[in-house]
Amino acid sequence: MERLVYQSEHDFIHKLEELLKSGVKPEQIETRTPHPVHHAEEILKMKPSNVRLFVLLGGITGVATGYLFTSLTALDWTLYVGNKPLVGIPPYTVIAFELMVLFGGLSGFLGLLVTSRMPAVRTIASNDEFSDQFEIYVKKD
Amino acid sequence: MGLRLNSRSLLIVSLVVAGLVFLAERLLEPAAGGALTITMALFLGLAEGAIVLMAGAEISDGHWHRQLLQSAGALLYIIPAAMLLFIVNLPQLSIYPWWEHQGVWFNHPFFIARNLIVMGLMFVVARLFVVKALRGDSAKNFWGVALIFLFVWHMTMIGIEWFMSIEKPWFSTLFGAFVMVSGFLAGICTCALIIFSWRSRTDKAAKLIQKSVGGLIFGFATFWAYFYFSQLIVIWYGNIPEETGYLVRRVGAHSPYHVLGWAIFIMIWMFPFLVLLSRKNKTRAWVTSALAIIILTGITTMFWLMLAPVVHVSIPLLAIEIGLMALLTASAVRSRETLLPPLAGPVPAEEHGHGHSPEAAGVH
Amino acid sequence: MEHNSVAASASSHPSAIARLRIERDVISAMQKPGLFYWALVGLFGTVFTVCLLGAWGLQIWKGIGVGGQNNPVGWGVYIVNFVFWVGIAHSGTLISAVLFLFRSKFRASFNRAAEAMTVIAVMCAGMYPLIHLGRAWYFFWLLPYPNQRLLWTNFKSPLEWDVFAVSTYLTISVVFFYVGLIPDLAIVKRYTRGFSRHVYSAFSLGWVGTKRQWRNYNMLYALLAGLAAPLVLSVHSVVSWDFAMGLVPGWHTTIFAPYFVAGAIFSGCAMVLTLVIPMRKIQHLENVLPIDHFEKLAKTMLFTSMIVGYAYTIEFILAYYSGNVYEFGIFKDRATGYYHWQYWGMVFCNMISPLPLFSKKLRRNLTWLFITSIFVNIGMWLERFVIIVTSLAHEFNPYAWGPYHARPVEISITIGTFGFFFMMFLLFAKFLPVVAITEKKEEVV
Repeated sequence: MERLVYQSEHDFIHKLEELLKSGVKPEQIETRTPHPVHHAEEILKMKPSNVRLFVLLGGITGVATGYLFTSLTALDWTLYVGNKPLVGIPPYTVIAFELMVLFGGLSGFLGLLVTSRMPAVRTIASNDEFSDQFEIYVKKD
Repeated sequence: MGLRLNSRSLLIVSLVVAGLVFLAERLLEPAAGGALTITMALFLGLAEGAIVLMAGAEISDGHWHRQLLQSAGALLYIIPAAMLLFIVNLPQLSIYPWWEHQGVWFNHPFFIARNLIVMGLMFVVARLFVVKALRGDSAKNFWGVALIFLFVWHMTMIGIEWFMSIEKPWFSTLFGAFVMVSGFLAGICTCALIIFSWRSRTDKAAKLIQKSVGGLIFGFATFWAYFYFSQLIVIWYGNIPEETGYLVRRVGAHSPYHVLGWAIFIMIWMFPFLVLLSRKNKTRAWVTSALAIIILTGITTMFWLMLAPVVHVSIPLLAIEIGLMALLTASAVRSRETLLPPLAGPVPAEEHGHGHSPEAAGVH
Repeated sequence: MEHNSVAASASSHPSAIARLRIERDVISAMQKPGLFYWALVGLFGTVFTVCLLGAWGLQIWKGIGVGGQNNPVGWGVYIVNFVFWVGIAHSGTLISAVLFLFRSKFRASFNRAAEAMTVIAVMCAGMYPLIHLGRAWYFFWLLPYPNQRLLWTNFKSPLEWDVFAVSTYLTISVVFFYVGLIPDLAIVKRYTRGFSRHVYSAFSLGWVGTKRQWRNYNMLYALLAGLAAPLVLSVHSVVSWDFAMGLVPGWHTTIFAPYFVAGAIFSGCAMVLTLVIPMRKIQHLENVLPIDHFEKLAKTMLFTSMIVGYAYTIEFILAYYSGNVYEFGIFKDRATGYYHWQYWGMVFCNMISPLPLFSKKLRRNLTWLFITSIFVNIGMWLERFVIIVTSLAHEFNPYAWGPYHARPVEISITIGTFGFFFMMFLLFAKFLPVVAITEKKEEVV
């Protein structure tokens, strides 16, 4: 594995472009940057992160739970309060919305951990650090 | 679509439109009705809303909107036409319950005078702002802030006096702000339609405006839904006879307009929201302009629903009036170069796409 | 915290130097605290322990009657404080999420401090329903579980919505705060030795900034912002509906939800200014927190002040318009009745005192901003007092009218939360990076 280190974003991107032109496949390249580099992600042809699926599924589960849980418990023991219908859509919308955000957010966080393989126990225990430099690692075939 | 006019011929066309509307009113709605009120509210809302969107972008040092400034600014020429229509509408004002029993605030001369004065002021301030902003004058921020204040004042007035007072003394404190948000959303939709007329333009500036307007429709349609819900749930929950009747007559399960109550909710929020969840759709001019038409129809229906249970609103008349005003609007936008000074200063191409911005993350 | 003297590591590239300077400015604010710092933490800690825990203990021992709540005013200072602190929390989410979606650059200066403030303020707010319950150990009755008679909670009750809204808000704020911290914690790891290095390392979850990590991180951050922005609207709307769903005049009004949200952001911006202006001075963050960004925050505050002023005016006018004796009666009573000085204090602090900020010169004057922010904090507390107490004290039947006065126990608990709030904020300012380092680095070109 070859390791290249740069001080500036510009040099880093320049080298990346060079590598890709010389026939290195994007999958062979791993990078470490002190901040996200949008352009690099583009030229490495990265797919949109799967975290969004986690958020979407969490959100849908939350909405469904919000409406079903409230409605089913209301129907389980029928008790009319304050002259409201047993299953009231407007008030249950509030609960459904809150649960959508709650489940969506938590499942998104779980998604970050799963998709980025965190917590990375080995890195935590080792002296491997998050540096302030732009690094390129090229895997040989 | 639309004619190329200068300011004088635009005035003549406005007079002709007002004359035609007057004739149509006499023929189709001899008894007092609300069609013209709806038309005026819709077009005032979309014109002022679009210019206020420009003002907001100028004040917050935005750059994305600059190319849109002249087209959106030209909408200010709808305001004098609306003033003419307001005069045409005077015989219809007897639809309001307070017309018979005048008070301190609701009396005939004061009502007519303040409406005309606010519209006149709005026209002057909007023109000052648009011209200064086009020229890059530093006074633009002052007039922009003044314009936003006037917009809030005017839309609240339209909401409360033109629509809410049809069922006086029923009141909802959010009503004015609700109509204001509707007007603002209509303004954003008009911007989307203007962009659609740029079909040939594929430069970066046009793309940036398209993307921003797509995002704004998404955001403000949702904001509109929040206002709709906030108003609904308080009245639904309180269930006080004197208050809840207004909703029962309009969106209640046994109301003849029941379906419409849902329809406007779907047209203005739910459908556009679902379509625009996809990031790609926000960047497609035909998608956002189709949604803009749906939303504008929804807002018209909403205004109609506010009046319909109380007064007769002739649908053909409404269609004619909206058609005439749409023609006038298109003409004003088309004549922007003769009506307004050109855009001064350099045109920034695209904002830097940094990693910490939503689109950089490739959200949907 | 021990410091690793980072040699300028032979890098001479200007952008590398700029990045290093940001890193150092922020990290050096975390260096080993002095006596003054610990004295302050001790002071606020004592205030918290004595005033809040002590008085709460007394209230539990003696019963809720030691407070001033009575019939008709069953909701007193505790509920005022609850609404106040939830409101304070909101600007954190506003600055982090809403400004993120609007691509505002000035958020990077404040978002970390504001998010920390959110988390702490929600904790403060969360205490109050428990304190107000009296028998706080029965709080679990609020949670949805089937009790021994298989009854569930009433999900149609706005108080039940509150349970969902506030707990969701706390959870999501913590997640948002923590996710934003992950890369910065990894930077702090580089600067520390010994035990604390292990702690920071563990909490940074092994972050090294690979392409995949950044990709997923940015996606989550954007989506959390997208979820948190409507959440912030919903939470204070739900709080406002605690009142608006009731039929009490002055409470049952449709504008309450947006009006409360605007008020919350207003008070939150003020609290951010109250905290960040001294922090900038004490921790020497002048380079990282430019005046321009304070000016923008001042504009946001002014803007929300206008919305709040609009709501005050509209409510008053429409109460008159309605011709409803109860509705207009309560507004007349607020302006001229028993609590008129609170009312006019509120109007002065929230509508008048921010007006000078129309001047650019004053918006850029940090002393002036700080003073204004204090006024706004007071004004927004008074607003909640006016809304809650005056309405209850002056309902429909004149026979049932009656005033309310806060008693020493309630005042003491109120002061105690401020102790808790400032203590927690001080701890945050020393143990975590107070400015988002990686976001600031991104601005370096």
